[in-house]
Parts: sequence; structure tokens; C-alpha cells
Amino acid sequence: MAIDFDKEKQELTRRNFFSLTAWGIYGVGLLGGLALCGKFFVPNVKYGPASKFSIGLASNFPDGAVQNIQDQKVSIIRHGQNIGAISEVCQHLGCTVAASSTGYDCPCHGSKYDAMGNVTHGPAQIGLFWFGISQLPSGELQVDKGNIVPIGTYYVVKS
Amino acid sequence: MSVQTQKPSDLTPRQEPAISPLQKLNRAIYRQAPEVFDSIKLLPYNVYKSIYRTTAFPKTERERSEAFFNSFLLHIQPAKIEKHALRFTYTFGLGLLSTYLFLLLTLTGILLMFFYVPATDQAYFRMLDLRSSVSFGGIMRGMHFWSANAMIGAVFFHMCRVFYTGAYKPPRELNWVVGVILFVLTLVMGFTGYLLPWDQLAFWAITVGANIAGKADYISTSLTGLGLPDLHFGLFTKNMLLGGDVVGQEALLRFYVLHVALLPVILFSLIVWHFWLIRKTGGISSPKESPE
Amino acid sequence: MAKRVREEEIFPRNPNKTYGLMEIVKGSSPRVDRGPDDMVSSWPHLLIREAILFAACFVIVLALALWAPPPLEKPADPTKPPNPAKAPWYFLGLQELVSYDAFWGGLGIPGIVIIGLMFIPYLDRHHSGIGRWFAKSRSTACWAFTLIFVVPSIILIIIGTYFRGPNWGFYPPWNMPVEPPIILHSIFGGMGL
Repeated sequence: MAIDFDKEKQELTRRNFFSLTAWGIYGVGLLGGLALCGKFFVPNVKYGPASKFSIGLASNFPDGAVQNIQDQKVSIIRHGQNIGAISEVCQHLGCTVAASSTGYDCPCHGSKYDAMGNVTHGPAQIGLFWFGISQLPSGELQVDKGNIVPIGTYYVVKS
Repeated sequence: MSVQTQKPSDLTPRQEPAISPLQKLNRAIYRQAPEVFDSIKLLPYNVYKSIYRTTAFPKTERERSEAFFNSFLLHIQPAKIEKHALRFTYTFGLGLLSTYLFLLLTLTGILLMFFYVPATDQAYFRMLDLRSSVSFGGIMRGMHFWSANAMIGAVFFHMCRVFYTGAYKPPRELNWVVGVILFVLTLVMGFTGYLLPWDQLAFWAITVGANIAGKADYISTSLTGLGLPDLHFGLFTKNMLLGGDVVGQEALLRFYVLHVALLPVILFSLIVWHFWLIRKTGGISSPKESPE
Repeated sequence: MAKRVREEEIFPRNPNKTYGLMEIVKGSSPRVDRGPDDMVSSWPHLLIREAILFAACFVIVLALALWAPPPLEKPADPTKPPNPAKAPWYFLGLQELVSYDAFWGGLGIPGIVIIGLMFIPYLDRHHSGIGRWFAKSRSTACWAFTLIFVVPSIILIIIGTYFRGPNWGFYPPWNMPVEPPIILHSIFGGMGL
């Protein structure tokens, strides 16, 4: 059954070289065309919740409370005049973390975070994202999920 | 000139009586009829013979061989086979079992497609309807589910069997590689399949799965150390899989198409190649190949 | 000499023929230059076995479908994952790996294993022990495959299935605060256990 290749016939003569080059160009052309079709699958428009959303007036958030905005998977925390927005998406593999007595726990693979979103237990390697908060002209606060800020970056309410 | 054309009729003095076209037709039918009657009598046999060119009850060795190589379905297999290859305890029928389960999955899958809609707001309720308002709907989904679970086990144990009996050794290297790809594709079929009911398991599995693909960023980030630009492999793959940043309608549709069209076609082609390679590398492995 | 004469009486030599009967051997097909083999016709020996296997496969799958209907969890809720969020049994080994490190567990190690599997026949080319279960000459290969691939896969799946509870914490099966994964639950539930 074994096929013994004739080594001499495998030699790269001038003729074989041109033949190989021609087939190579043919193949690269085909594969290139196929690869261009890949662009078809790249989403140009992404559906889903808007990355910027209003959370209402600052007075909605009492001092020391943690408020959970379920649709957006964001927790709003307030310490004194400081308001922060913490993502509830686990940094490990994207499950939604749940608030616990020690901070946030992930049910999928057991990552744990403290109340500020720092990792206290693996497998997650970096802390939960914090999002930038700004004030709209109407006075409402807006969270921008496209704007990731370092842990502990608060929006300071001007009283 | 006209005399010459007349000549044949001169040789035959008997003049044909003039007959009507109807009579002509009548005679033609009368002349051909016995053959047609015969054909009608032999019709079932001839139809059978045109489909299957061998007797249905082969007795001699020759007829038995013909039964295999004259049949489209059976010619995939050799007409004669070693006794060793037939021993159940050699193969445990695992390869064939995987194929059968694949066929059952195809069949039940096509039936399920008649009642399924890959839309986030409908998929789950279609599952409930399948159970409550479609005749045999629950059984069809059950068979699809159990065949899928069994197929993963059968393929895994088939791979173990091939390893433990040394059946991957030359000249069967490529067939082992095709087999490994088939194993991976079977798992991917399982993954894309259990997303379709759009229940909690589905949603969180797709989330975790897509994020695992996203972790390929680690490779492209490591490659930046070599002076290459960061290509974000993972983010790219994740976007391609989900059709967006989050798991939603686009993702369900993509996984649906993968599960019911693209992957089955690839899987089927590879199975055909797998079979062809078995035949071309001398059939199923046998202890005769390596005297000990 | 007398014997020779008798043979020629039974098989008289024809001077016009370039061939003749040499000997009669036991067997069912004409073969040249090959010793006796133990081949049988695929019809019916192979066919009947295939038919039985298909019937058994169909009946078992149908019985499971009737007895143990497939699970269906609550509708997808993007805001709240179930706790613990377990994949189907065949991915629980992977999930267990992923719970240590996302990249290495989900892509790195599985990728290396798959590539490694594909390279087996190109590295282990020694022509021995083909067609026998656990041939002695291949004991090293068999042990390596078992200890590197088979046993770890199964152990990881068992840990993921029976030893992981809420928040993917480690619990012994007798102390598990939640129900076992749904696939096994549905088999045993269907059997009335």
C-alpha cells in the first residue's frame, strides 16, 4: 500500500519551478478571494443596549447605597459626594457577578471581587471595570460604557 | 429517370391496397403489441433490475460479492472482509455507531427545523411548543438530545479504541488526523446545538464560549513583543462569532446557521473522507500487519 | 508409476491447453501467491452485524427519549446567571480548566492537546502491535495515552460534574448544596430513582 515517491521526480527543475509558481499564484488568488468573503461576517452595525445611558439625578442615589442597574449590568455606588459606576461583567469570562457580603462573586468560575471591584480570588486577573460618569445639560448623570476609567475614579457631585 | 424510380414497384406486381391512416395505426400497434405486453409483464422485474442489479437473495460467493459492489450504499464497504474485523470485541462497533448517531441526528434535526425559529423572543417558546403541541415533538427533541450526547461518547471511545489497537500507524496517519478533527467538530456541534433552546444554559454557555475565544488576544498581545502590531485575534473572533459585542439575536442566528448548515456539511464531507481513507489504506487494521 | 497413470485418467492432459489443474486447495475464492486467509463475504456476515447495531442504537436512543426527556432550563436571562452555571457534561472538564486560567484552560491546553493528538501517528511510527488491544510491545504508548489524555479528561469531567457547587466552589458530592447536573438528573428521574 505504501507509495514510494520517486525522489528524482521530486527534483525542482526549472520547469517544475514555473509550474509550482503558477499553481501558487492560482491558490493564493483563490484563498485571497475567500478571505475577502470573511469581511461579510464582520459586524458593521452592532445591536444591543446603547453604551451611554442616563441614570437620573444624583439625588436618586443615597449615600453609602449600592444601586444595581440590571439592564446595563452596572452598579452605582455613592460615598459622600462621590459617585462611581462599576461593571458587573466578570473579567474572567463575562458572566454577570452578583453582589455579596464581601463585594461581588461570580457564579460561573468562582472569581471574587471586593466592594471596589478589585480581584480577591481568581481565576479573574484584573478588577471589574469602572465607567466614566458625566453630567448631561438636563442635570441627569450619564454613564459611558465606552469610557473605562481606573478603579476608584469617581464623579464628584457639585452641591 | 422516372422509370428507374418506378422499378421496385415493377418487381412486385401485387399492388398494396390503399389503407386509411387509422388502419395503419391499428396494424402498427398489432405488430408491436406482443413486445409491449412482454415489457409490461416484466415491468416490476426490470425496474428492480435497473435499481439493484443483483439478486435480492445472493447464494453463491459471486452473487454475494456482486450484492456489495453493485449497490451504491454497500459499495463503500469491501465485498469480502477478514473474520478478525468482524469480532465485536475488536471495534465494539464504535465507529459505525458514531455514524449511525450522526444519521439519526441529521434526521431528527431536519424534523426539528420545521418547528424552530432562531429568534431570541421565540426560540424558548418553540421548545415548549415542541413538547406540548407537536405530535412526537418531545420524542424528536429527546432523540436528538440523546443521540448528540451518545455521539460524543461514541466518538471519544472510538478514538481510544483506535489508539489502543495501534490502528493509527502508517499508512493510516492521515485518517487519524481526520478523526481528531471529526472529534473536535462533534464537540463544536454539541456546543452550537445546546445554545439553540435559548434557555439559561444556552445563554451563559454562549457568553462563556465567546469570551474564551476572546482570550486569544493573549496570543496577539504576546506577539507584539516581537514587534508585530496588536491584531486583537480574540476580539476579532469574538465579534465574528457573536456578530456584536453582546450575546443577542445576531449570535443566535450565527450559531443556528453553523449548527444546521455549515458544520453538518463539513462533518459529512469529513466522514466520507474518513471512510474513503479506510478503504484506501487497506481496510480496518488487522494483527496480520505486524507479526509479533 | 501406477498412481501417476490414475491421476492422468482423472485429469487427462490436453496438449492444446497451455494450463492445467495443479492441485485442489480448500477455499472459496481463486487467489495467486497468497497463503490461505480467513476472509468471509460481507454479505451476510458484515451486513447482519450492521443491521443489528443500527436496531440496537435506534431502540436505545428512542427508549432514552421516552424515558428521560431532555432538560430545558428557565428562559435566558442576560442579567442573572444560574448558580452554579454549569455547561453540559462534556464541557465540564473544560470548564474546570477554565476556572484556573481563562486563556490556558480554554485555548492553550486544549489547543496543545488537539495538536498533540494529531501528531501522534507521525511520531509513533514503529510498526508493531497493530490490530491487538494493549499489545505488549506498545505498553509505553498505551500508558502514556491513558495517563496524559484519557484519565485527565475523565477526572476533570467528574470533578466538574460532582465536586463543584455554588460559585464553582469545591464540595464533596455528599455535601453538595445543589442538585446534580441536569443530564444525570434526567436519567435517574426518568427511571424513578
